[in-house]
Amino acid sequence: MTDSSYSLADGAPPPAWRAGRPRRLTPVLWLGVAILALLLAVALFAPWLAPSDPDGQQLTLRLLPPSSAHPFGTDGLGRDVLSRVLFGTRPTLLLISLVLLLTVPVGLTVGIAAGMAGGWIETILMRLTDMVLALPKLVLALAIIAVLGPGLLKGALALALTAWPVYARQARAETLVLRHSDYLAAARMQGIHGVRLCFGHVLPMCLPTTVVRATLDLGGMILAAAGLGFLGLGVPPPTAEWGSMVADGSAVIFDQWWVAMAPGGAILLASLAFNLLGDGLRDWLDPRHE
Amino acid sequence: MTLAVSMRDVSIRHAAARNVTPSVREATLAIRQGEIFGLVGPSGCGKSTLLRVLAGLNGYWDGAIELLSQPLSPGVPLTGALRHAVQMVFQDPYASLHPRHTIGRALDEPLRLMGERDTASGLDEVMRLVGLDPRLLAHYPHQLSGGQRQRVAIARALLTRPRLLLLDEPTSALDKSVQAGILNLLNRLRAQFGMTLVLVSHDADVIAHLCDRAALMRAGRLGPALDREALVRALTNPERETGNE
Repeated sequence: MTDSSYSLADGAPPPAWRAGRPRRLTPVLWLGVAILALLLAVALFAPWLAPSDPDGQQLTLRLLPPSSAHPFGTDGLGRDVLSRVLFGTRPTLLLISLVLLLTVPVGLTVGIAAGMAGGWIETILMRLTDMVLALPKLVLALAIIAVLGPGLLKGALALALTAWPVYARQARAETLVLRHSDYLAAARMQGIHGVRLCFGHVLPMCLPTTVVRATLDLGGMILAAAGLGFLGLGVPPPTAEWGSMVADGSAVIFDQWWVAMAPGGAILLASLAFNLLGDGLRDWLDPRHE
Repeated sequence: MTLAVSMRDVSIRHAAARNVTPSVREATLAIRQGEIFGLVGPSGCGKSTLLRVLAGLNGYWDGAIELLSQPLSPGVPLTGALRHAVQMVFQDPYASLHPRHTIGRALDEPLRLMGERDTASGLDEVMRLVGLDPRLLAHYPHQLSGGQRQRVAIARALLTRPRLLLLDEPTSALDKSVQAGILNLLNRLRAQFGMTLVLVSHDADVIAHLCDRAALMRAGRLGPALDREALVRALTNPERETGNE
């Protein structure tokens, strides 16, 4: 009986490892998380942080340069730019969370279903994906908004409609690699199949790349959202939104640069935060990363 | 005498290559219940392919197969009691365990699927059965050694109380010193649960150590079943019988 001595040789837990995932965050991930936390806090506490009413017009105080009363100056209607930038985090974060909620589940489901099913189901799903992938993102978004009219939810819908295929393609590619793996064969032999196999076993393998991809995409998504705002197709005017603020400021950019710079900087910061986050998550989500 | 496996004129091809010559041709085989049967041959001779058909993982075959007295049909997946009764241990234990599931998660799910509510005691029991510390349940496969992983894979195969256990080179990915432990474990479990084992290996020592009978395989052709004496004779003169080219 060689097996009774398991605690000595083969069966003892490795002392260096503990259960779970005791992992440290990398500096890049820290920075991404910190900036994102800052943005979330600003969005949440904007009414308390903002020095004045973001929509309060004071035409006597038009286009004032940065000062202690107005740290980022005032815009063409005499509104405090800092307050507007702070309030502007709200529509931006709301929009990209909506886009995420609309795209990632759809893309993953389509991709995993196509990869696991194969045959004509795969052909139909992937040709559909290719069709949507062929459409130019912002142009289609513009067309949809032209039809539906501007608004936060409609903007998210317009951006989501062309954003899901990348996740479907990626999930399918990964599923194809996994399809003939031994551990899925083993799972099938235990009687695990269908939805349970797809979401319990295939999904965890596709998730890390999807999370990374989504986070990296969010940077571009913020730019696209700002682009819609810039073109006047985002949130309707009185509401502070970074894209439309840059558009307002672009008319006076050479003389009163601060009007466009503050929201532009905010867009840069948010976009950077998600890129850092995506980069850091890629390393952190690898289970072999110690 | 009841047969665990009965095959007549079975030819197997791979899924993607329908027009190519079958990788196993006209294999005929009878494996008795309770014995350890070996399939020996050089790599690429089709022995693993044959085993995957018996495991229900490859449906591209024709001929007649009966597993545990139930006939199979090509392309039809195994279901129900037969699915539970036929289990397999794969060659590479790292590739056969889900890298993002803890050992506990991997072993818990089959138990729940079989309708067990309280799985904690069952998990402890099966871990001890294969000689592993139950504390390992909280670990991921990459935190275990090769031998430990293969024991987990064996534990998983045992969960459904199989009557036929298929072993695809279960020790070839392991260190020599660990191999004996795994083979002894398999032998003990077979005696304990009255299972039939089908062992695929290219290692003559492993086959000679464990098997009651074995068949030699070469280039897709399955030879006749040999008893222990004929097997030892064949294996001591492998150039003539198995033709390692």
